[in-house]
Amino acid sequence: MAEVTDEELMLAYRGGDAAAFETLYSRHRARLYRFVLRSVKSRAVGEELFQEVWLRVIDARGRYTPQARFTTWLFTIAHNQLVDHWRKRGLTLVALEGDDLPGNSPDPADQAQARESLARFAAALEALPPLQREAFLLHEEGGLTVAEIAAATRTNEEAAKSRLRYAMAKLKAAVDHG
Amino acid sequence: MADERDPKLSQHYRDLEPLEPPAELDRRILAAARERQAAHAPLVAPAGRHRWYYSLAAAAVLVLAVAITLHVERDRPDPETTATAPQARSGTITQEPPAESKRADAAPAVAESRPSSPAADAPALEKPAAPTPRPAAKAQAKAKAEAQAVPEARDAMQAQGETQERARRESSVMARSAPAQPDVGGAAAARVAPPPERPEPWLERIAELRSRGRHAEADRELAAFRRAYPDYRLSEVMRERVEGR
Repeated sequence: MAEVTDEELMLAYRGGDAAAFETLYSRHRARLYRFVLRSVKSRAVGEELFQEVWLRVIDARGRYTPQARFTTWLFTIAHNQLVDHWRKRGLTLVALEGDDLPGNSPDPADQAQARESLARFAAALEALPPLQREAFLLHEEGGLTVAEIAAATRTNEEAAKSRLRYAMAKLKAAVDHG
Repeated sequence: MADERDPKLSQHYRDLEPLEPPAELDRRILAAARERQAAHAPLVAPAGRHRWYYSLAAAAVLVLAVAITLHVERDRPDPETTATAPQARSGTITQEPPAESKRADAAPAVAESRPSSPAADAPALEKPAAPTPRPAAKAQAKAKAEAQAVPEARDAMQAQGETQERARRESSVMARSAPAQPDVGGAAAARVAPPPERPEPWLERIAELRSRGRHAEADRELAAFRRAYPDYRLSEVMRERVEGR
């Protein structure tokens, strides 16, 4: 039997089925949480934004129409939340400094090469410009295509593609060359 | 060009710490989902932008109620008719205006129980002569059946004509009152539930507040806008105008 799609679940929730939301939430909670936390880097702020995104999904259920994938809609809301957050604080605040995420600190020297590589990757991800990092996270966490990233971030496909490619090139360079 | 994924980078990304929302956060969000759903449980599950149907339905009911009230008010004994009645009485019987609703029920009984003498009928029929077409028709039929009932038939026909005239007057009253209804309904609709503001004028209003330096209000409006349209994409120009930062 085919699994109920996200869009069907959201429509069911809109129609009054609270259990549908729980299923939907369980499917996307982790990826959205990672997306938000890795975008703002502060756990407290990230959790606040994460909660706000879901509350907006809840509040907007009556207006939901499955014109695009639910994931695209969800991450579009998350993007808007992040943009508001960045605008309030100024883009520079999300540049390089910020609270460290657990596990992002460099490993001891006796750790394996793989872990060093991973640490470099994490640092490089954190150092990416916000728009490039967002494109990468939308791609990896949200599973969004270039076109969907463009739609979610209200830009054209070329720009989305360019951001994603820059992000990937920098991450790759960090992993390969340290 | 749908997937730009690099397997190696993807693997590295997946190897990062598997962050998960804490259970308390999950609990809060799921509780909010249930509470808000219960608080706004739809009766017929209106869909998306069609939620304004509720407001419209409420306004329509109100308009209907007001319209009926107005109609009832205007349907009280016609001053024109009551004013002409004495004149008619002073003239011939055929000038008698139709008896209004007072005698509607009693009319058939009177017509059936009256004596067959036309001379005796004439005064008796003055009042119940033609309250509605039905008793009039009945009187007419009886008059045809009885050879002596020519005056009655004449009365009935006259009464039928009066009834038609009355119906025409009522129609014209309805027609006169009709243009007033939309205003009443419009005001009522405005009182019941204003429709949600459209995004563009709303943004313009926020931009206006921002340009006047009323930042606190602009911030509040912008937050409200975000709640109402969480996935609305602002253009760069509009974003600068409404955020002003």
